[in-house]
Amino acid sequence: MHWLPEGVSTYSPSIDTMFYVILAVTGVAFIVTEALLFYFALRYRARQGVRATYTHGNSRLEMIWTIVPAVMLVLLGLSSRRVWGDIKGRIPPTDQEVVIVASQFDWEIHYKGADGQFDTPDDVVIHNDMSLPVNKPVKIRLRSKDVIHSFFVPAFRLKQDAVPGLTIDVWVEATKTGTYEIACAELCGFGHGTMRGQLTVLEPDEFQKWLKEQEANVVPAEAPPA
Amino acid sequence: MSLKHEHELSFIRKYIFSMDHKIIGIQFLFMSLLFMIVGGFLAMIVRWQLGFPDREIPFASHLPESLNPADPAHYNAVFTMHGSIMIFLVIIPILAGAFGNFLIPLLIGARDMAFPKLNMLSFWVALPGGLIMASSFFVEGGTAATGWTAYPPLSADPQYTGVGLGQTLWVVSVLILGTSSIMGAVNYITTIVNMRAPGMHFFRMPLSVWALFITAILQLMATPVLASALGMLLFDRTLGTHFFNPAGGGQVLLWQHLFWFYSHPAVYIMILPSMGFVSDIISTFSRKPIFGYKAMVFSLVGIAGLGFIVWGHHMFQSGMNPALGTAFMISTMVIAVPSAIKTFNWLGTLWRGSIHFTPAMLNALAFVSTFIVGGLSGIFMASTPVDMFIHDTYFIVAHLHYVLFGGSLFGVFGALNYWYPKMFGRMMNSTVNTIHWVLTFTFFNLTFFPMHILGMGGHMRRIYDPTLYEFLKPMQPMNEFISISAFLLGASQLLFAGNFIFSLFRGKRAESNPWRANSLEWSAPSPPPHLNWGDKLPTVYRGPYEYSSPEVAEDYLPQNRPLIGAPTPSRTVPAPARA
Amino acid sequence: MKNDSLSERPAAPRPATENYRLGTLVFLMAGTMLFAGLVGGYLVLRYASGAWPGPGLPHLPVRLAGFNTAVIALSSLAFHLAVRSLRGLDARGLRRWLFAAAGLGALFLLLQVAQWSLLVRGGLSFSGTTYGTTFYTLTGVHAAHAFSGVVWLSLIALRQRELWVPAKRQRTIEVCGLYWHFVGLVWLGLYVVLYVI
Ligand code: HEA
Ligand code: HEA
Ligand code: CUA
Ligand SMILES: [Cu+2]
Repeated sequence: MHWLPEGVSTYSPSIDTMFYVILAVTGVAFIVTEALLFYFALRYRARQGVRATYTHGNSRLEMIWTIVPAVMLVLLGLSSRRVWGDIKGRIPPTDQEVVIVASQFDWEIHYKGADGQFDTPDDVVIHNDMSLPVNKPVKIRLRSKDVIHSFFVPAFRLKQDAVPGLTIDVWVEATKTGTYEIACAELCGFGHGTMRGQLTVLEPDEFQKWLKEQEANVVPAEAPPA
Repeated sequence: MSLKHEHELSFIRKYIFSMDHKIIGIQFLFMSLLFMIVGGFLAMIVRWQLGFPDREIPFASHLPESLNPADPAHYNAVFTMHGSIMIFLVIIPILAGAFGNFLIPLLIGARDMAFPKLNMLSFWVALPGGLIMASSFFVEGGTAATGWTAYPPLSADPQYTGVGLGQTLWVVSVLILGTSSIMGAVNYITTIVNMRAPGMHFFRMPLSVWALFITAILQLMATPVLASALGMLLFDRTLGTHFFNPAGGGQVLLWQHLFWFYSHPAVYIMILPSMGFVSDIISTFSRKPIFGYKAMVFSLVGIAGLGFIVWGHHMFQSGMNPALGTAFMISTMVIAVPSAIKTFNWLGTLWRGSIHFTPAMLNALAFVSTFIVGGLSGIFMASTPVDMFIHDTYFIVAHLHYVLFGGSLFGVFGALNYWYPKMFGRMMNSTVNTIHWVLTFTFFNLTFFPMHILGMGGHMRRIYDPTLYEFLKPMQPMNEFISISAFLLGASQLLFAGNFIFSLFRGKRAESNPWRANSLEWSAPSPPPHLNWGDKLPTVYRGPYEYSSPEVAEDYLPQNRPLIGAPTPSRTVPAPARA
Repeated sequence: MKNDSLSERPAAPRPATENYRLGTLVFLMAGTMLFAGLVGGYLVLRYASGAWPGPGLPHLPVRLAGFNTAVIALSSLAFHLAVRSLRGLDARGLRRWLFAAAGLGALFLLLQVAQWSLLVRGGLSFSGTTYGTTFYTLTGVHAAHAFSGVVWLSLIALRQRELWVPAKRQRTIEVCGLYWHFVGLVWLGLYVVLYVI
């Protein structure tokens, strides 16, 4: 069963599974409650000479329908916690780092450049077009120059706000090559809906080749990012 | 002499600067219904733009410039005002302002609110607040365009949006509306605690009163925190401070914490009263006592209490510490439990009832049915990892309309149908309202259910043209479908509006107790005179849900009808709740 | 409104806390939450920033403020004695203590202004740093509450001429007193938060 779009990061299956688990639990709750609602409404519609049953409740029943959902919900919470900790609670060690600086309606993507360091004149800076190697964890460092933006790659199931004044690290490991879209998920002004970027996942050697080309293109005069 | 004297009040004192809780309630009602038309109209513009992004609105040239969504900046203004008006000027004032005012004294057996003047003031503060928000449509730069959540820095500095005065007016307006809310809350709390009729113990109050009581406490405790945040935002905008500006040492996330500390409780402010009304309506039209009265009361209290510790679930992806996210996830999961209790108790009330499908009942059943959907979609978002994908997508838009329209607004439709005879002394045409219900329920689901699927596809909210994205293009037909359903949904409301207005003048005269219901308001004439009852206040002998009691031949037993041999009520000896 | 006589009739047994007092206490809950929001904001900004005060900024005059805390506490005490006089049917004492409370309140405000001008001259501007902003905002919002309290108090004191106090004014005095104690208590909280910790 696949209702969600294809996921291409290492953690997208666990997010999707969590989604489907919740869908199953809530689906059962949905069907049971709606069916009862419908059934009771029809079955007990007013009839000549039939009086409603005079009752104020039933403590046993009430205990049951308090405890069962409570247990279900706490279980859902606990299993979500594990997935969440894996994704946002840690960053796997990696030497592949990208800095993304969001600004009004532009994703500025920084690679280290030839010297293997950020914030030097030879940094590779590309706008709205990001490339990543496949099967390799990548650390993404998010910043914003003006207002809050949100880095959203639906295919990765990755979403994280970029907040002015904060530097926020996230990571992703792509599992499939191809082109995907980057969107901005936090209202950031009139161009919010157009703050679109492209993301290409490449084989590692192709990625290295691509990076070398970009490095060659760097105009050294360009000032380092603030 | 006193009752006579009342008729000598001038028109202005009686209907405009009135201190009668019923008139004030009706003033709030008309104000919110008028704004509902505005808010609904803005929703139609939103849907036109999303369904048909490259076709101009037919009537675009007649709109104020700031509303024409052809320009993306204006799209932001349109949904911002849609959300802000629906929340601050429709749902909150109609639930707390209109029904709170009208119902509380009548349901507890009081002649009026504890502080009639303060009550009058609360309306005359709210109205200018609303007008200020509306006036921003016509100022230079247009209205606020930062969403109803107004996250800074976007909302703090005009350079980011090009909206100057409009955003400031938004802040001022919400501040004023909040002040009005607090005034109302002070009145409701005092009235409910102090002015119940003889015999009206706390655990004999109808659930509508309980719900309005808990709501008032939420308003009282949460609104001032929003006021503090709005004050800071106002300073940042006008006095050059840096509360939310990191360049000056401020903290961007501070706003979100303060805002959601208010706004999460606020979403319960927007649902609890409806839950109360629906409980009363379901019990009345099932001719059966509410199932688990005490559990219903305690779950209201539980929702309100827990409501203060879950605000962080709006901030899972905001950059807040992920460990905090886990804590907020758990508390959010727990808050679903009292809602579950309420849902099952409503079902329990229907079970073996004798159900009458009046329009009020149909809307109450729609409430239960759609609140379940909206509540269950909340569970997805409460799960931090799942929220990572669906945060700020149409899944959220679906959720919020299922709880706010499907929940709160169906509750309002139910309550209007139920209490209209008491308010205006006339009956609405129930055939028209039944048709209205069928159409609304159908088109509501056709409009908002598909939004879940859009959200699962990753469709972001607050974007003005989905076709700009490759991955959203395949879903555009669904957007068109939603828009057409939304237009039909909007059009169906004309039936209700027409019936509402027509019946004011031409409706059949209502008797004092048309639904054969138990609570005290039905013992007063329809509409109740000034001071509600003649010279004797009703005395309460039992709870409000004695339907089909074996003690009497009829299938209802009003709270104020003495039974031979029943003990005289007293305040000091609390009788069992289910007496 | 004379026509309210019906509602004046005891509808139900007298409540434990009368409307006006309960209403005031409820209203002050809202006031407390307002300051809670502001103090919350202050704490977030303070603990998120490195140096507090930042380099080159004046420290707050702890001792002046401490003295002022004593002033407003005495003012609260004076009001308490005023209410005691009221209960003891001592109209003269009532007037005297009301004036004392108002006077001490005015002194408090005066010293607040002195403190602000001291700090402004020391280089602490309102909008320059969050240190300054939060300080002036918190003390300013409090001073606005104190100001309306002093005006209200003075009006009551000035109008208190006769030897008897009509029931309505008794209630006003009591409500004003609750408000004034609230203003004093909030200041105590602010003093601890701003100057001590
Ligand atoms: C009336 C208003 C209302 C109500 C009642 C609720 C109720 C709930 N809401 Fe909702 N919410 C909003 C209005 C409301 N919400 C709005 C307006 C937003 C968007 C704000 C914005 O960003 O613009 C929002 C956003 C929102 C978010 C943030 C999403 C995001 O931005 O990423 C979250 C996350 O946890 C959430 C969760 C919940 C939960 C868990 C409930 C629970 O209280 C629901 C509990 C009810 C049930 C669960 C159903 C009944 C129970 C059963 C049938 C029992 C069986 C169930 C199980 C075993 C699971 N809501
Ligand atoms: C109670 C709250 C409420 C209600 C009722 C509605 C009603 C509707 N909403 Fe609204 N909506 C919000 C609250 C509400 N909304 C909020 C809070 C947001 C978020 C804003 C943000 O992102 O900042 C939002 C956002 C929002 C969006 C997302 C925009 C975006 O993110 O880009 C969309 C898109 O389709 C939408 C559509 C609709 C539609 C089609 C209706 C229709 O149901 C409207 C139908 C028309 C009416 C209900 C009016 C009819 C008039 C009457 C019934 C009056 C009767 C008169 C008399 C009796 C005299 N809404
Ligand atoms: Cu950037 Cu939205
Ligand atoms: Cu919430």
